[in-house]
Amino acid sequence: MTRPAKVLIPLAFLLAAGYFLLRVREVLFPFVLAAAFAYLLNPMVAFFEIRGLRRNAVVLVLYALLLGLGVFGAYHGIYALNREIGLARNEWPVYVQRGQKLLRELRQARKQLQPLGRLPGTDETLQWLEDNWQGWTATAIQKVPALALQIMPILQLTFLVPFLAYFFMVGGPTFLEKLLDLVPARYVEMVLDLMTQVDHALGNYLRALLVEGSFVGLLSLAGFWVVGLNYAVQVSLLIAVTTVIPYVGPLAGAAVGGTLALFQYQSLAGVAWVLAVCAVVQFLDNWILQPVIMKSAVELHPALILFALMAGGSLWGFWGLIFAVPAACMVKVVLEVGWEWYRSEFGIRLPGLPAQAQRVPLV
Amino acid sequence: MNILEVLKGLLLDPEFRQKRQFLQRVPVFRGVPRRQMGILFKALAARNYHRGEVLFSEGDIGRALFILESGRVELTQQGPGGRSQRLALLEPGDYFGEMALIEERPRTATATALEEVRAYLLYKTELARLLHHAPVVAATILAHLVEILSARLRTAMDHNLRLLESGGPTPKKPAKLQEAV
Repeated sequence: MTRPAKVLIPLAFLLAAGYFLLRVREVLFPFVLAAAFAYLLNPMVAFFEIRGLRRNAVVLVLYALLLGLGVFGAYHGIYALNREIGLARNEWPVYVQRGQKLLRELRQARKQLQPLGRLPGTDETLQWLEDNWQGWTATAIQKVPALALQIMPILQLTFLVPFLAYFFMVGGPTFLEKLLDLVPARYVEMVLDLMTQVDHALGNYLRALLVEGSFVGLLSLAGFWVVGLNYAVQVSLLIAVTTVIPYVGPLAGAAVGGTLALFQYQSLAGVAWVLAVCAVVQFLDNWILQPVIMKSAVELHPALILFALMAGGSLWGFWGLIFAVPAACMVKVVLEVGWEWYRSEFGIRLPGLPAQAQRVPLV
Repeated sequence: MNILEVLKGLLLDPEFRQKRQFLQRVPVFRGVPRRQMGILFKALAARNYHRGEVLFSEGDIGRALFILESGRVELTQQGPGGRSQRLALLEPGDYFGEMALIEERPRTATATALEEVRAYLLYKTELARLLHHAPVVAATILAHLVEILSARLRTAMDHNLRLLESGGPTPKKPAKLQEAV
C-alpha cells in the first residue's frame, strides 16, 4: 500500500464513522452516560481485580449489591416521596397563605423598612407580588404532573444506563486493548501517554466530585436537621447533586433552602439560620474538603469554568451543565499533552544535562 | 471438589497467576512484592504487533519501556554508510527502551517484530503515578534502572579508556548501543 493510501483510507473510515455518529447523536446519550457510569465504578472493580479476582465475577457481585441498594433506596424513596407529597398537599395552602400574609405585612411595614421604604415603586412592586402570588402558586401546582412526565425519560435511563454500563465494565479493558492494536505502532506510546493523563485528570476530578457531593450533602443534612428545616433530605440532596455545577450549585441550594425556611418559620431569623448552615457547609467545603479531595484533580481558572458552564448549558441544557466542567478538564489535558508532545517531538524543548553531571565527573 | 475450590475457580482469574509468574521473571520487576504485582499489571498496557511491524524507529521520542511476552524483536541501527546493523535479538522475557522512563529523548535504535509479538508497555506517566500510589513498586523499578545506568556508564567509561590507551579516536557513543535504546 502506498503512503498516501495508508493515511487516506483510515482517515476516510474515521470521517465516515464521525458522520455516522453525528447522524445518530440523539441515541448516543445513554451510551455516553453508561460509559461515564462504568468509568466511575471502574476503580471499585480494579480494587478486586488487582488482587487476582475475575473481572466479570467482581462486576456481577457489584451489580447485585447495587441492585439491592437500588431496590432498597427506591422502596424507601418512593415511600418517603409519597409521604412528602401528602404532607406538601396539606401544607401547600398554608404556605401559600403564609407567603401572602408575609407580602401584605411587608407592604404595610414598608415605611419602617429603611432604605427600602424610600425607594420609588416599592409599594407597587409589593402590591403586584401580592396580587399575583396565588396565581403563580396555583400555576406551579398545575405544572407538577407535566414535570413528573418529563422525568419519565430519566426513569427509562435508570434502567438502560446500568444495563449498557455492565457490558462496558466487563468488556472495557479488552475493547481498549483492541483499540490500541488499531493505533499505528509509532503512535502507541503517545496515545497511551495521552490516555493515561486524561484518565488521571478526569478520573480524579469526577471521583473527587462524587466524594465532595456526598460530604456536602451529609453536612447540609446534619445542619438542616439541627435548625429543624422541613424537607431537609430533599434540599440536602439538591445541594449534593448541584455541587457538580460550580458556583451555581451552592447558590441554588441556598436559594431553595432559604425560600422554604421563609415559608416555614415566617421570620428572617429562620432564613438566616438556614443560610448560615449553607454558608458553614460552603466554608468547610472550600477550605477543608476541596484542598484535600481535589488536590490531584485538574485546576481550571474560574473564568474558564464559567465559560464552560455557559457553553455547555447553551448547547445541551441541563446535561450540558453537568458535563461542562469534566469536558473542559479533558480539553485542557489534551491541549497540555498535545503541546508537550509537539515540543518534545520537534525538539523545541529537550532537557539539557543536569548541572551535577556537567560540573562533577563520575567517580 | 469442595465448595471452596468451586468458588476459587469461579472467582480467581487464572490469567492473573500466569501473568504474575511471567512478570516476576522479568529482571526489572524482580523484587516487586508479590501482593503488589496486581498494581503493576494495571500499570502495564498490552499491545500485539504483527511480523515486520516496527515498534519504534530510531529518532522517535521514547515514552515507554517494552517487555516482550511472546515473539522475537530485532534492534537495529543505521550504520555510518546508511546500512542497518543488528544490535540485538530479543526473546520473550527481555525488556528494552527503559531509558524512556527516565527522560523523553529520541530512540537510538529501531525495534522490529520478527514474528507475531505481544508486548507490555510501561510508560513514563504511569511510572510517575506509581510513585505516588505504589511507591514500593516504583522504587523497585527505579532502583533497577539506576543499577543498569550505572553499569552501562562504567562499561562506556572503560571502553573509552581502552580506546584512549590504544591511541584510537575518542568515541562519542556508548560502547553497547543496544543497551541505550
